[in-house]
Amino acid sequence: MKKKAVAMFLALTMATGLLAGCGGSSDSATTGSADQAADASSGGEKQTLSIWLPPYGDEDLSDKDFWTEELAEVAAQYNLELDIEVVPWDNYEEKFLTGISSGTGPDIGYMYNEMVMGYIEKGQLEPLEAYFSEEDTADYIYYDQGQVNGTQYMLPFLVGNPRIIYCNLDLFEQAGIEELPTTWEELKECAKTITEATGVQGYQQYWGGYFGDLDELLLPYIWQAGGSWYDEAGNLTLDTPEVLKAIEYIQSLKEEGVITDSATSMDGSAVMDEFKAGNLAMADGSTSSATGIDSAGINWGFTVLQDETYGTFIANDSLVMMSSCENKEAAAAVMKAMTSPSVMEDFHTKMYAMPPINKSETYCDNEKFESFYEEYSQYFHSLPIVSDSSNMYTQLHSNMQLMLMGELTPQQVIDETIAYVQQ
Amino acid sequence: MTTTISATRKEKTWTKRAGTLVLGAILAFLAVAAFFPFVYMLLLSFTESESLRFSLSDVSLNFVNYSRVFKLTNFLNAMKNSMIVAVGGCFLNCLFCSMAAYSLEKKRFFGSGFLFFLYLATQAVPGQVTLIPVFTTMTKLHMMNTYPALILPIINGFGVFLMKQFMSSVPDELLESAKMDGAGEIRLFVNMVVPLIKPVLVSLTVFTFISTWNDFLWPLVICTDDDMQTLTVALSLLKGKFTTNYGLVMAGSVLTFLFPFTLYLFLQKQFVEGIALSGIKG
Amino acid sequence: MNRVRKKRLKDNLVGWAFVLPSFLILLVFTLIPIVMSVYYSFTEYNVLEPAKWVGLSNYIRLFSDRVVVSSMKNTFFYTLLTVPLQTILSLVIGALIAERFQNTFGRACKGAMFVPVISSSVLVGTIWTMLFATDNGIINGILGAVGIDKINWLGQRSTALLCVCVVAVWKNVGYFLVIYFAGLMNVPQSYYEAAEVDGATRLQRFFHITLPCIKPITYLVVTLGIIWSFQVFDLVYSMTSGGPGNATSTLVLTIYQKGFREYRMGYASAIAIVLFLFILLVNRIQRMFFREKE
Repeated sequence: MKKKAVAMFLALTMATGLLAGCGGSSDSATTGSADQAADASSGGEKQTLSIWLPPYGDEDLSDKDFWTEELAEVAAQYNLELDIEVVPWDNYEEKFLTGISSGTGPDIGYMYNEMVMGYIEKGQLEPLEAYFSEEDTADYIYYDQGQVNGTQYMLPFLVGNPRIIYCNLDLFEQAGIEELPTTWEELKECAKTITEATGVQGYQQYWGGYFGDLDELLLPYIWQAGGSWYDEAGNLTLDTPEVLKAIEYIQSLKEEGVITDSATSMDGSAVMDEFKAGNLAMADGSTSSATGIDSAGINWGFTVLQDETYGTFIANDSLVMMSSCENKEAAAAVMKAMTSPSVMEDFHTKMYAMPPINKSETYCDNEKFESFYEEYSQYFHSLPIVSDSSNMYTQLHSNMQLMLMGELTPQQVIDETIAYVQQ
Repeated sequence: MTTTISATRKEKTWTKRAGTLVLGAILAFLAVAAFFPFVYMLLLSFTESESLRFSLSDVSLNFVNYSRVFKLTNFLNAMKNSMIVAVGGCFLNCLFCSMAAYSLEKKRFFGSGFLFFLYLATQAVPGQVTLIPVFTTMTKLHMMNTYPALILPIINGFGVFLMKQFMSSVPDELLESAKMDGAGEIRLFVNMVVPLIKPVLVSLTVFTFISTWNDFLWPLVICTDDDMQTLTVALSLLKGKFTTNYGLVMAGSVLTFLFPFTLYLFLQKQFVEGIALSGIKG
Repeated sequence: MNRVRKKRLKDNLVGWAFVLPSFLILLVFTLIPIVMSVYYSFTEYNVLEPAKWVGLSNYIRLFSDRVVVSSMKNTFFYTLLTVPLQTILSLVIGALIAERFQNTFGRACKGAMFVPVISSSVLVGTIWTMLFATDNGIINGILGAVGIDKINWLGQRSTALLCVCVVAVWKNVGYFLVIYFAGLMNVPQSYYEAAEVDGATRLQRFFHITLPCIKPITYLVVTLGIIWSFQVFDLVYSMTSGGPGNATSTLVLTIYQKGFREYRMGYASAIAIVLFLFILLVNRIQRMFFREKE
């Protein structure tokens, strides 16, 4: 009996061990064979370069196929084996954090402003100056926006999708309004007039979502008031008259009934659905919503507000090179290829409509926005790159919700946010 | 005398029938309310909706979204991976958990109480904080992009807890008498214990299968090789940042949903076999 | 004497042999990571750089952290409401099906109620968010038809968390129903027959036979319910993201926010350890309660 038990014990431990061992060996076996295959095909030693990108894929073309084809040339030139991994938006940051923290991250990554700072502070990103000559960067429109504290850490890659206010022109006409609103007061007046004349709600905001919604609901108003919530050095400057003015304006929207109680329960897609259904005359959105609004059959125009100045949010996502990358010259070449006019034109036509990032590139985004991009580009802002900003935005968003529920005053929103962040 | 008895009996069956009807109606209502999301998912998968709201007029009966799912993702390979992981995980989890539960409930060896506490306690720590340490362990063991890395963390304390609670209804006398007949430990376990706890094994299988099948974060971080992608990871690539075709996403969801649901329906009969069990004990 | 000792030794060996495979896996992939996060909870750790020992400061800070404290309250409220509701509902429905509907209809109902269990929390959360919509949600539509004013379900403090609880119960009942059903099937029929001979009413039979017989199952359902409720995340994340104004933020939501959005894994671990201790404490109390009833 005892023997049997011991035997079983041994068998099971071995089985467990075997299972684990099996995994390890099969892993090394597959990589081994892949290397051999590469050797056989090229004769030389192919280096692997891994790129992590999010999906922008069209319904009929996958991201991986697109990039594999577009980068085939540069890969052959530098004798590279490209390992392109498309990382889903869900849990995007977790994927990078686990990978990079254990040394299994990419060589080239796609990052957005809120996530970059953490990696810069910990020395994980490679400054790009050494790999990009002035000649290389002459054609880029937004190259300078990739600087953080004077160092070029990022290569702007996907710049666009400015936030605008969509207007239902039929409803404006019914209400007898000829001009779309361009100031804060006009927005309120238009909303009220439309509600009175047509019975349809004039404007609605969505505070039931997450802190990213601040990009269109609050931050543009701060820029328009001429303020900012971080100064150049990255210090929090929330307690300024401009910020207070913007927050007070949002509160007045609620108090005057322009936006209703349900604003605290709706998210962006809920408001956009109302707009597409014709139940709402004005709604915030990004330029990428235009296609959907078109197919919903809405006769639309758009506007950007101004107060002291114009100003709105624009997305600015970049390519970065990891410090752990072993072949930085080749990585830089791949990054240049990815942002070259011809590849970008293909990307903007086949994958995702966006304005050009190169001066020599043709415009491939929605034609309704072409003149807007040209005339307003100086008023486009992207998020400041500051450490621990995610904490601040979360608090600010949550305190704004409290204000709309009548639990905080605008000044308290500012004070509470600062107090919490500095704690 | 006899007539009154039959009258009350008749009355009883009549009230019972009415009661059954009412209760059945309530049950049916609850069932419909529960079934609703699946219908929603199915209808949405036949639209090109950019949000999760749609009107019935958007629904068109063509399989464009379904064929796109197959075209855009390596669906069959991802399904193969999900199958291997789910089936492997279910098998090992059922085997190891029932062994542990049997031992903890029926052997009461030195340290068994504390061990059971440990099993239960592991369930009380949120996965969010253990993700990084588990991930680091895996990379140190060079197990990234392997099936064991996907399967081994499936084995958990929940299964042991579930099994142990049901194991208490296996009569000790039955085991004792089998031991008297000279059955060895392994034979006792395989031939006596396993058949008796079959309904629980079935329910653990279903639960393990579902949680493994739907798991997203772990397969996402532990696999960097496209060939190792599971279904949830492969399908999540259909979601865009600014705009998403929810019809397409839902087509993927319907396809993912069908496997665990079919498994549940298939195994549902096995749950009922508990009746046979009570026959032995009575 | 010798034989007794030998038998005890054998029992111990066999016992451990049966436990060992699952224990080893648990040790490597769960227990050691937990010990590591206990260590991290005493450090400042941003994942990318080595952890720095800071002693108890994470723990001291979290009890004065407004966000953490309100998510503690929410988590307790959520658990107190969800666990009893889902336990009673799943038991009642399970008993109903077991007694009256052991036929195709009952099986179909059980199958349908299992749908929410399989559906992803994100999908379920999104659909219910639409049903709860203030302006043209179905629920307010029905209430409007009987003359009740619009309720801002997810947009106000008094109802937001309640709505999340309702959806959670709706999603979990199918899960526990199946467990209860399996337990009910294990109650020997002969007990009922004997009771019927003694003239016990149906209610008496339920309280004196069914309930005691399925006590281990109830313990299981309540324990799992508590553990899972304390760790609710997906549903809240997809329905309200913790809003409006922290009204629905739960502990794990805060842990996720601190750990993965702010890269403060040490602080997140400390919150997780406090959560862990809460669960243990509640489990203690619950065990006393279950023992007393015996």
